[in-house]
Amino acid sequence: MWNYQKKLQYPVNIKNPNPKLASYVCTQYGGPNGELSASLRYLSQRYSMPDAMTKALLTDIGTEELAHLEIVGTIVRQLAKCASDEEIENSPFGAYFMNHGRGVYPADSNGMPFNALALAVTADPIADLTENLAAEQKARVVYDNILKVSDDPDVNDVVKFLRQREIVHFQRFGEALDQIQNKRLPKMYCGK
Amino acid sequence: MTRHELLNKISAYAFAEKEWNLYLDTHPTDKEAIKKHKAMAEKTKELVKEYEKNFGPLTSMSADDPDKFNWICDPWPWDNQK
Repeated sequence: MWNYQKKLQYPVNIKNPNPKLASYVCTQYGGPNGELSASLRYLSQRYSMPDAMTKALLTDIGTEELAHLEIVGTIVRQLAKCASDEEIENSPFGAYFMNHGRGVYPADSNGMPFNALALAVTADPIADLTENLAAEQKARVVYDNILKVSDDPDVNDVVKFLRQREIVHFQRFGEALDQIQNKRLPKMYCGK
Repeated sequence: MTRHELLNKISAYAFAEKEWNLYLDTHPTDKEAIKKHKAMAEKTKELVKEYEKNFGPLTSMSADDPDKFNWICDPWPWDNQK
């Protein structure tokens, strides 16, 4: 189970509304490389992980991704909350606004709602951990792209934190994959 | 310390705890890391206690006001706190 703590993993306090940036950052809430996708991927894959190390790692990283989902949702809300109707209408946030107002909805920056096809569970630890390595890099690229177009220091500070976490998770998944591959436990590979 | 400062301090120690946690998942016999993880966890717990005494519960388990269920009080984490 999970216990909720009434705090963010990393503080978010954005001064200036920016609906355009909200619609870009939202892609890390509900997009294919986003935090919802990441948390569901790891928390679903963990059931078929073969040993204590991988069960722990997927549970712990999956849990941290839920904290990141909350951080991204907070950024979107704070960027949209005080934006004027006119600012919203003249931004890419306008189309989203028709259905979701200034709320937070899991969709990507094209407006495509969250789709579980963005993640995979094969019950093969090598396939799943290899997918996770790619997933962390793809999430890192999206944060890189946000940093390329955003000039808001309040947002960029948080995005840099999230970007760095993708790199640490990539490192940990790499260590797990390395250890699994060197274990030579044939039973592990049968996908049971 | 203000509420904001204390919350940031908790976040810093809780983050360090989490970081050692992930490292230890793949290096479970690194004794030095185990010590550091324990130190970060203890410091976090101590700061959380101080926070809850002064500013209200961080989990529903710590709600202890007999007159009002203070778990529900603002601010919530997504509220801009500056």
